[in-house]
Amino acid sequence: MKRRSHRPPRVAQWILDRALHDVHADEVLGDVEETYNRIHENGRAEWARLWYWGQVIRSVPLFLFASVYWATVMIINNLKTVLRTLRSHKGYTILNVVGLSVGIAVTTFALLFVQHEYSFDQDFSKSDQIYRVVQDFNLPSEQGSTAAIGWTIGELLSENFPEITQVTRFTTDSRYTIQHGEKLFSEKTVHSVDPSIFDLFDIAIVSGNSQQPLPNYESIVISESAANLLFGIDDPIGKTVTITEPTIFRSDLTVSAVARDMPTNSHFQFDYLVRVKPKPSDRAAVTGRWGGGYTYIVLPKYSSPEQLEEKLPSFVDDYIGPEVAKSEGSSWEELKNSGRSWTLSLQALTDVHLDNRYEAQYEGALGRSGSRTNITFFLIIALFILILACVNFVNLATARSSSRIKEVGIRKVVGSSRKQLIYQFLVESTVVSLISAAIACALVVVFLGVFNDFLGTEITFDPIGNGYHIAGLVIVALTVGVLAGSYPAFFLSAFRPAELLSGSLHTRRRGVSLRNGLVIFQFFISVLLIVATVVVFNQLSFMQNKDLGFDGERVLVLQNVPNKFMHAESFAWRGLMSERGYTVDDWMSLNRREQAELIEASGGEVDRLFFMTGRRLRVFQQQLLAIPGIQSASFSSVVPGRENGFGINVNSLTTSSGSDIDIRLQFIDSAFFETLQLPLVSGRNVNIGDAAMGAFVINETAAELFGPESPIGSTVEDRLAILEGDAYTPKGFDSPIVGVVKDFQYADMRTAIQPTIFSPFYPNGMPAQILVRLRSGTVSETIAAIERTWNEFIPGDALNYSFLDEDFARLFKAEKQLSKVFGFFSMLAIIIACLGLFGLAAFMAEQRTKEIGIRKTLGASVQSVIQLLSTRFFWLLLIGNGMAWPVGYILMHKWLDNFAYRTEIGAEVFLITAAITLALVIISVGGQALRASLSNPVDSLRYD
Amino acid sequence: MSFLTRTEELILLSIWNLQDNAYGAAIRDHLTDVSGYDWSIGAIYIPLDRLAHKGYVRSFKGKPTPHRGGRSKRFFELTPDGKAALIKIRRVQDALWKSRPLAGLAGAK
Repeated sequence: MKRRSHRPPRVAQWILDRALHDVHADEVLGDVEETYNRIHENGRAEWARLWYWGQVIRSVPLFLFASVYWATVMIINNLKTVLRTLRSHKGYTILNVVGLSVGIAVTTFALLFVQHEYSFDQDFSKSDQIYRVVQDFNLPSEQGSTAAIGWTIGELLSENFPEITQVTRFTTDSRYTIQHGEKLFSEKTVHSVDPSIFDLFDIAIVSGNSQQPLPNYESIVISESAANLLFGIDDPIGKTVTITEPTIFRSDLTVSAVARDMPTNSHFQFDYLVRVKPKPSDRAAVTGRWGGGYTYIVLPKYSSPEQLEEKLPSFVDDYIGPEVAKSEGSSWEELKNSGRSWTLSLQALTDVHLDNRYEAQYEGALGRSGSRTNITFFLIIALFILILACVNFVNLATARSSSRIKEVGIRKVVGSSRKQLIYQFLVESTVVSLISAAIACALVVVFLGVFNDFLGTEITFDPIGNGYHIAGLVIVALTVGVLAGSYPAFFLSAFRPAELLSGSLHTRRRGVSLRNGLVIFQFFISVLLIVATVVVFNQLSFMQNKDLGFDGERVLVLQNVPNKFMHAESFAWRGLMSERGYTVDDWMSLNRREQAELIEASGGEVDRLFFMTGRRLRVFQQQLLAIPGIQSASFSSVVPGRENGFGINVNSLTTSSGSDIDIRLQFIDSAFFETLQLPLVSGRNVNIGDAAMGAFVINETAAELFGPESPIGSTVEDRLAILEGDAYTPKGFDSPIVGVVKDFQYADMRTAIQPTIFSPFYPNGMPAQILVRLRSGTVSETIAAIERTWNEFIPGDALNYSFLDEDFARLFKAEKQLSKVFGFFSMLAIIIACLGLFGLAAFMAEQRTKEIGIRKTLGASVQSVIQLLSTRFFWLLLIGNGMAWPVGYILMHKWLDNFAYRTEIGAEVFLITAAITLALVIISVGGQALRASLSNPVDSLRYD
Repeated sequence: MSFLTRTEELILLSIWNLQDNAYGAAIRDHLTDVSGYDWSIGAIYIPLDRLAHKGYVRSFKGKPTPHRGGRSKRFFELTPDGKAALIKIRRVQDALWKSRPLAGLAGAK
């Protein structure tokens, strides 16, 4: 081109070109350039440039507006076509919409759940600066991970590390009774907190003293819901609340403030806050063993916790090591060299909910304490369900391609470009998925309550008010629309019109292999879910039916009895103390040694609280035994199936063979084995004459450690250190084993039975629970009699009791929940897969109506026609099953590995699965095949 | 059938006037000459598009020329519908003008 110099301004040209974005762009640009050149040739180059820009500025808005206009016209046109298509194929539309709405609803639930789980503790003003101090320890006597750490660690940390700007600590105790006037609530949790907690967790004070919510030890802060419970509409500020707890005694506290309830997505939940009292410094102070507290530190903004964490090992060496050394009886260096360890680490506040390594309790498979595994699990299954629904859409769309092929052909002939066709099919799938999303929305609203009840959450769903929710739903719907629609769109638009209309195209063959693959995939997922359901269910019934070793059917667990006795006793005891001139707070501020000295100095007049309570409990036991309906009543330090677990201590004991073994110690009385109907395998029971730690019964698992010889007569040597004077010294005993008792299950089935030794109680020692074995027949009369006896000892307080077998069944909550989750998901998967199969089968039957008619005219039997239509599905079913079985086996085997006592995955699991899926295929395909095969060939061949 | 808009009418008339030479730049020049008002490209092409959709004009591509940056022209011509529409609006206008001639309006401005 000669006229290079006359090139119009490039940027302007580019802008105009972009704005046109149209088939005529070239000519329009040419027109403008022609005029530009003319002005230019007249020698007014600058004028020409200005003119060009002027054109651009004036025209671009017009062109843009026009393109929006035409795009809208096209979408409306497409929508009309799409709605017409959807309406004329109502059956398929319904199949697709049902499947997709279920899929989208499930995905929405999954996303809501994930969002809820990840939202924990994110909204505090210092969320990203707060860390919880946690510890992992591995010692000869005990191993574990816990967030309950030494009480003084918080102070020591802030003394040693100036970068820590704030420390707060709290302990919780759930055994409080809260009382105001007539209203009394027992088993309430009270948090004893440092006042700085209000700042850390943004606790909002609704009324009362907001500057200093807990001004002294006599004040209490209650939550709004607790205020409602205790005071109703009255103003709680300044009122007196009495809280009683067995070991801290009774206090009358004044309500100093009412705090807003914590958001449900915080791991820190409270109803009653009291100020924590200075603790006596004892060995729990730095190790947190035998009861620690939760400690949170605040670091400056944007500072990394790793820098502090690096300094923690030497901190442990300085403060915790020496204390551990004392109780373990060897130096900290030695312990470390032999591979023992004690680690303090920082856990980000926002991780506390999801990282459940430091929480001891199981709260159900998808329960309150979160876990990343659960989230992933839930999300994956929900996505699978959604994919199954998308698969239905793809399958039905491609299968129907032959019936839409004329539509496509004619559209192409009249000049639709491939792009337009793709666009049209995508609009179609998007419309279907948007309709489904709207229905899903309604489903979520309807089932949200059930969902929350099941998970114990308070998730809300607000598709109108919450922008994230509506946006999330639309994004899911659009993604589904594009994903589900793109294959059919490309597949259908790829046909060439000549082939389409001349009929030379083998439409039936195209897409078949993909469709088969997708059907196999659907079977695969369904089979996998069914296998999982069956295995979880088997394990559940295995656990429920497993012989626990003891008979808990008529065993009553009297709950909290020792605590309440102690509490009742404490009033008497407190009276004695005040006669001597001490207040309870004086007493609590003493350490144990000083307390012991005081008791000593009182000349025995002030008896130990423990002793008095223990003695009265024995009297209670004797009176229980006088009730005719009671066969036996036993005290023990732990009860099978209770949350507080089994062992009170894990001791390393030396057997006569000289080797150290980890073993659990449990205190019992002579009635324990009879109450639980546990037979002795050899030797004798402990009896009244045996001193505490003077004779032991061991369980079978412990007996196995002794090898083939009978353990009876062997001795057990203690290495537990106890406080004597100023130092911890090994106490040491050397007592014989007198009997072996049958093994019994005391924890859930994840934990194997541990080697255990049973020792008689110390005289008047405190039991954890009381077990009462009832005689058959007169259960309700006997319970009434127990309550009467109870009230003679503790007037005006209700007795809490439960049956041991029911307590134990509660341990299976997690598995029960999991079996429900799997059951529910596999049901959904099956329903969706069946919808798809039903659609495919219906379509195939319809498409082959003439073929079937001809076959029947030529003498084909009903049976052979059914075969013709359904054989293919049975093959796909077979392949799907074949692929899913090994995968299901491996996955579920892995799950079962969590259990010490577990069922095996037998052939019956797969037979059941095969039977279920076969039944489904027969129902969804068979009906269509039967209808087609029974049809009168005259009807199908009449037209044409 | 609705009437043409004034812009549409002017563009159709320009095409008719220009006959074989009715392409974008020429139409713009023509209208600018006749009306004394500087038309933008957009103001020509957007009504042209609409007229094409209504079926009043059809277009075909010409040869590329150097002084257009190597781009071709797109020529427009009236379809029978387009001609009919022009005639129709002309008739209405004639009928309206006939009853009250231009003479009386002259004093207005």
